[in-house]
This record gives sequence, C-alpha cells and structure tokens, in this order.
Amino acid sequence: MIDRESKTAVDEPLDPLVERAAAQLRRPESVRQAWREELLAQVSTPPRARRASLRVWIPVAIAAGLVAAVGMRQLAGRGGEDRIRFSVSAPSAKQVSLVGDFNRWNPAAVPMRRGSRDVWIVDVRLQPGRHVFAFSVDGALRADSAAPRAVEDDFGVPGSVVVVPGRGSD
Amino acid sequence: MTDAELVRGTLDGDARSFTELVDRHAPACLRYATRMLGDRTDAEDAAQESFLRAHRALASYDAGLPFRTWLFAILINRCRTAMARRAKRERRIVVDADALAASFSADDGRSFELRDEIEWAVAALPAEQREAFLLRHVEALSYEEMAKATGAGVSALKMRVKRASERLKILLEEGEGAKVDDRS
Repeated sequence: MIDRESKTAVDEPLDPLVERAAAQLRRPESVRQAWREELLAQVSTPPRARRASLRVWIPVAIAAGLVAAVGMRQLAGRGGEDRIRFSVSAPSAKQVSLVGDFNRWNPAAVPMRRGSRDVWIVDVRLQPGRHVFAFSVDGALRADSAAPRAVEDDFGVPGSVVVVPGRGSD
Repeated sequence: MTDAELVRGTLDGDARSFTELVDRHAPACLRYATRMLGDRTDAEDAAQESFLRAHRALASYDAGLPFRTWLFAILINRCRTAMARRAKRERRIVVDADALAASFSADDGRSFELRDEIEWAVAALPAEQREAFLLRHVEALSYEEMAKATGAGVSALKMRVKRASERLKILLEEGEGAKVDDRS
C-alpha cells in the first residue's frame, strides 16, 4: 500500500518478536471503580455552552478590509479575499514555517522568510472556512498569541484559529 | 449511539452521555498512559485530567474529528507534561533494569517476567518513538489520526514507528539472549 504523501509503504509488517510484544501491550488495563467515580463526580455539571462570538471577529475584520495588527502579527486581506499574511517574531530561529490543517501540519510545506527586525513572514491563499494553524519554529510548534486559541490547543497541539470568509460573504 | 451523539447529549445536560464516553474510552486511555509513563498512578492522574479537560472543552469539539483522536490528543499532552514534571522532579534517568522493574507494580496476575521484559524495552525507547509506536501498534490509530493528535507530520511519525520497531527488536533479542545465557 502506497501513501501518496511520503511514497513509502504505510506499515511494514512487524517482526514476530515485536508483534508478540505489541500483542502483550494491547492487553486491556482495568478501570478502578474509585477512579471512575472520582472522575464522574468532578463532571457533574454540564460543560459551558459554545461561545460563538470568539469565532466571528476575525472574518468580520477581514471582510471589512481591516488589518488586525496585534503584537508581532498582522492578518489582512491582500488583493484577493483569501490571501492571508502570517508573521511571527522569532529572532533566534533558524527555520520557521507555517503549519496547519490546510497543509496537514507539514513543516516543510510552507516555509516562512525572515523579514526585517527578525519577523518571519509568509503570504498564503486559503480556502474559505475555519483553519487551525501554528508556527513551526525550529521544529517546535508555537501558537499565535495574537489570534484566538484553537480548541485543539487544549488537547495537545498548540494552535490558533483563522477564519476565511467565503467570496459571497463580503 | 455514536460518540458525537454522546457529546451532543453531554452538552444538552445529560450526564449519562459523558459517563458512557468515559466507559468507552477510559480503558484505552489508561492503557496508553500506563505504557507511556510506566506507572499506574501517574497514568490514572493523566487520564483523569484528560477527561476533565475534554469535558471543559466539549462545547468546542469538532465532530469532523473522531472523538477518540481528540481525546488522545489531550492525553498525549498530559503524558508529555507528566514526563516533563517527573524529569524535573527527579532529575535522574532510570537506566538499569532493576530500578526500572521496581517502578512497575505487580498488581495483577500477568506473567511478571514477560511484562517486565517488554515494558522495560518499551520504556527504554526515546519518548517520541515510544509515543508513536504505542499509538500505531497498540492503540491502532491511523497515521492521519496520529498526526492530528501529536502535531507531528505523517512522515516523521512513520520514521519514529520504524525506528521504535527496530530498537524494540534489538532490545527484545537482547532479553532473549540473556535468558539463554542464564539457562546455559
């Protein structure tokens, strides 16, 4: 089976010795009743309702042609509605790239160029919709502190949100 | 009922829905955390914290992503944090088999020798390789799910799994050889 992205086999068969170990590792772990009860006691109230306002301010700003310049980052429509400029300050970095769900979080896909004052910049064209992105700074993911945090940020992947409006929305 | 429907039910105030999500996913979460951290107590803490964080963030869950992947992303981060805290706290690396074996509790009836040998080998892997191997070959996540959950690229993950498998083979063969030596 060939993977389109890497052109390599998806999974080589495991060595029998390693497969035996993996089978052993797959044995289920028991769930202690006390652990379960303690957890459920802490979630007795429903989670907060969805906050919609956080997700609309960026498309509104873009649609209005505004430049959102917060900290070291600018976000603006440039020419076409879909073109977004991302920038991040990383004075000591050797390599910075833009990663996100639009490029499968591939740090090699969208390298950023070093501009003046050690601000790394890239302009990209994104499909309309909500995108989660981050900066890969010398291999380490960094969220954009100036943008709304992605919910994914809370589950392990530092991420920020950008929402690109559809062509009909402005 | 699907996970997405249970999420919706939880958001609508049905506590039983979240209980069902816990019952569905807690065994895998505890298994991953235990294998990753090598300590059942730390694993329970990481898994519990993951469910609590998931509950708090549930309103923002995107049903386009499998709930398991979303939950594992939280868990992976909790395990990484637990390892970092442990490293900071202890400032030491367990490298000898006796000390490592002592960190595992014999709390069930499994073969201690086999478990000890395999867990020792898994614990000897670099954390990134251990993480990738467990997600792929124990929890059976796809590489795309792993990429979403870990933030790493698919190619990097494949390389980690490959290296982990090769390293495990060497470590396990060393263990096999040691047993033969003991018998001779």
